[in-house]
Amino acid sequence: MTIASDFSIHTTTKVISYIGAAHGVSGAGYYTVLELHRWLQALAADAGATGDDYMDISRVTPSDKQFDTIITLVNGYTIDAAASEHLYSGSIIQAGGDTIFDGMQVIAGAGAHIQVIQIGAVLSNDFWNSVPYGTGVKGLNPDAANGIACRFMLKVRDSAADIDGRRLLLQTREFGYSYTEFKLNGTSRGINVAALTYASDLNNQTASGTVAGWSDVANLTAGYNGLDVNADSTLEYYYSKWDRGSRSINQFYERMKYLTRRGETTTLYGLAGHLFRGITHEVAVTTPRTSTIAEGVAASWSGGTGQVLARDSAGTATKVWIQLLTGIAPTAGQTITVGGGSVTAASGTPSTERALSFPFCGVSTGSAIIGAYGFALETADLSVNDKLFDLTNTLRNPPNLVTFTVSGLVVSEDYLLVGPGNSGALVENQFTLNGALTGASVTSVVVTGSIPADTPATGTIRIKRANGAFSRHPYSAWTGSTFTITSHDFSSNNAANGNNAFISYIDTLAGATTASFQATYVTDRELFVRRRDGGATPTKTFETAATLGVAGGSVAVQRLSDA
Amino acid sequence: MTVALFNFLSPYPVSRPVELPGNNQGFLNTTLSIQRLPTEPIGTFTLTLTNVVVGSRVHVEKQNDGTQYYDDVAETSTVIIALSTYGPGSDYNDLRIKVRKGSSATYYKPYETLTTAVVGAQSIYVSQIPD
Repeated sequence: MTIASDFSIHTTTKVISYIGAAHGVSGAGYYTVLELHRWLQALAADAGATGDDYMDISRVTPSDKQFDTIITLVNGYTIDAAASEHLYSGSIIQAGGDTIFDGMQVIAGAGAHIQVIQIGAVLSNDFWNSVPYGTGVKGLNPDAANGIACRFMLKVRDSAADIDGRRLLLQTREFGYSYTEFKLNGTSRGINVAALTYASDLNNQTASGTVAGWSDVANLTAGYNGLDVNADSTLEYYYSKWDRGSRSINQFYERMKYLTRRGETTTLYGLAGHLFRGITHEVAVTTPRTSTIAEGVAASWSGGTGQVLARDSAGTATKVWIQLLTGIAPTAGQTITVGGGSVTAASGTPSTERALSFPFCGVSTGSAIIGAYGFALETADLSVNDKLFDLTNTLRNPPNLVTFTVSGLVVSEDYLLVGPGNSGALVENQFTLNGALTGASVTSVVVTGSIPADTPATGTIRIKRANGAFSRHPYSAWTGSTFTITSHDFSSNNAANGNNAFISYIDTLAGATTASFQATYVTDRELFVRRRDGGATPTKTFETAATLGVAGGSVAVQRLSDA
Repeated sequence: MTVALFNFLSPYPVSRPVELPGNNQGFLNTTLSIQRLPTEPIGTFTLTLTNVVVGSRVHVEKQNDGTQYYDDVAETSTVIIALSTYGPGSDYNDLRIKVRKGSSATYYKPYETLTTAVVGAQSIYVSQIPD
């Protein structure tokens, strides 16, 4: 087919229409805007019109060219919507500049499915994703040799008004492939290039139908919440608190991709999944305020709209975190209306734009997650290699919780003691008491120096008493130099100031064939392991040195009969 | 169509003696003239277009309704066009000249200008800009 047979010009309306084959059908024609201009100019230089072209030398000039990529239709000539879908590599300006189609050129892998978001919604007529007849690959007007996935035009100005400031967001969200987006903050005349990535995601190889069933992954708190990710006893704040259920961290990552893949309409924070991007802006707010500010609801202000993903307080918010949907972020002093309430953007404090991750949860290494800004899972679902960034954009590393296991025990026979060790011996003077224990109901034990950071959150300690024995005392917490122990009567056989004490990491009669404790790894710690069985079938005492290392540690006890 | 009894373009004076009472003699004077219709040529207008890109289509038309006066492809850079001139004020004198070359490279932007036909000749320099 030729441009002459694919287009017609209406004799009275001067509308240039596409009359050729539809997208994906044999013979469908696609032409550059320059080719359209050349065709019109050739017709305009004809002696007379033929067929449905209308145009000849007697007609007024139909088009003008500023550049090869910028064609202005003049004297009332216009293209219709169908014609615009068959033109590319430039802009068409018509109606005296009141209507503009701008050229798009997507740099991405061949076959990429491109979503275009305009005015906060995915354009449903995604003709550019059509499969040209005979190619079997998505994308109109591709140029594989130059890495161009597709080229097309989009209307960015209509009725003398820019459509959302000519802003466009192009994205790829194909499950199994990398997610990317490219933001055009106001298209320009000519060709607007959007660089996207469309490559297989090696950490996203599970079939979507399988991931669809992973419903045990849930967001426990969709909004502002405090978590102590780095276990420093101080809360950091995030806008989510996901529970990965029974899934591995990489499966969790795949689930996050599933929830935001192309076509996903299940909502996150009130937005359809395929539109959810995460926090784009942090806005400092102040008085005047009215009512309370909800989360997961729409917000608007003069010049833009967004979705509130989090705020630091419902009634007295000082910070609001939004996903920008249209226009520009709130500027200082603007009133932000959120549901039935409103807050005012603080003067002198412009909105802070936050970097996005794709997908919104962050990046998976396969065994750990590098979280996006403000994104979090519950602390129990994190491991040492995970990295999260709280709402102050500070990196938070979960502690390295390691486990030390002793196996080979006989239930109700073996008594196990695991304590600090040195050269294969038990270190009884790990601590010295800072103050005598003489009360009838002592609940706190103060030691000299600081309690090591790798001390389990709960456990037992042994304290040397006046009779020389080390009594066992469960503790429920510790901080600084003080253990909080179960109330104990030290009024007799007390413990003098300076007496020895140590942590008994495991100090129990075997209740199972294995026993273990968990601690935060700081540095290698030597342990002393002792197992004794003086029951009906006595065994010789088993003692050994062991190490609590970066990956924890384990010991299998030996049993030698002492019958 | 007016029958041209007098081959003059200017008024033609006619006079003869007449007898008047009292042995007086005088002259009876009258003036004959032809009033052309606006659609009737009163002369010729030679329009010369210079610097025309060879291969361009040259089109001359009436401004208000596009009636074609001339249409041809320039074979030389100077195009001489013989046109009619009409009575003063006739819109037939109001001409639009189009010079276009869009069918084959090198392409040029459409050139367009206006002129008024007069009895005589006029030369227009055509400045075409590559497109």
